[in-house]
Amino acid sequence: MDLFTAMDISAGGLSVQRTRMNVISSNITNANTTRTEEGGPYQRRDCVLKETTFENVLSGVEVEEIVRDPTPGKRIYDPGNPDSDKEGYVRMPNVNIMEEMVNLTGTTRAFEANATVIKSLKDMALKALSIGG
Amino acid sequence: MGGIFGRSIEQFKSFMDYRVFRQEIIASNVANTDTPGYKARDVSFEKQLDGQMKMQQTHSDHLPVSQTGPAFDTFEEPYTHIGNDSNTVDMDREMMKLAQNQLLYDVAAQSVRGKLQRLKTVITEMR
Repeated sequence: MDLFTAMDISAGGLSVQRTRMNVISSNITNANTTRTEEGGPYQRRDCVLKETTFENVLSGVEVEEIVRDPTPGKRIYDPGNPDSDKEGYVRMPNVNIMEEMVNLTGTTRAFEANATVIKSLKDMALKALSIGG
Repeated sequence: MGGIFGRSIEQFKSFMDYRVFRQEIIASNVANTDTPGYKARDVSFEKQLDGQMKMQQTHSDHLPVSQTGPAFDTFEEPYTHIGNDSNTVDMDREMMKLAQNQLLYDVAAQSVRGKLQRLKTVITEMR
């Protein structure tokens, strides 16, 4: 139970938010990908966050798993596309750029909040060090 | 501790312990700001104060009172701003508490520093 435990917790928060950012950028990058290794269009990914216990009373956080969003994407008419079906429609990924941008903003803010906590903890530790001086 | 340092140093110590613990709880809340179902928590000050009142060494031959283990009581924040994911962390409140808590910790650290400084002055200048 000290300032470093709290720093560990916040560092876990930073790492989780960074993972979410990676997932969001992979979603945005693949917003138009119609071909994947498993076949079919890209499915957007989402992080499932889970609370972890830290010294009985405290809680850290971790990414439990990265799941795929099974919602079907929209179909657009593009008969020239090699991935189009018999009627000339192509199934696009279920990525909504607007939604991803909103999530990205939320993630950035949460990342900053964790960084602020770490800075505050560091300042407190320095203040305690100054007692001896 | 006691003697030339006086008992108030010990009180500052437990006050600072309390502040550090509260900062840990705030860090937990901030880290879990996006965790579904997480309930924001806080530490009650009263129990800490209560413990301080009881812990007194009444005779010099008695064992010194040590404050080991968390004498703190956590509770769920009653401010329920519940989102779709039933998470109750209010980021603005947490950041406010963070700054406030840090300042109060600094106050205690500064006081201890001043106390020791004055003691040092007494030791070195009074001759």
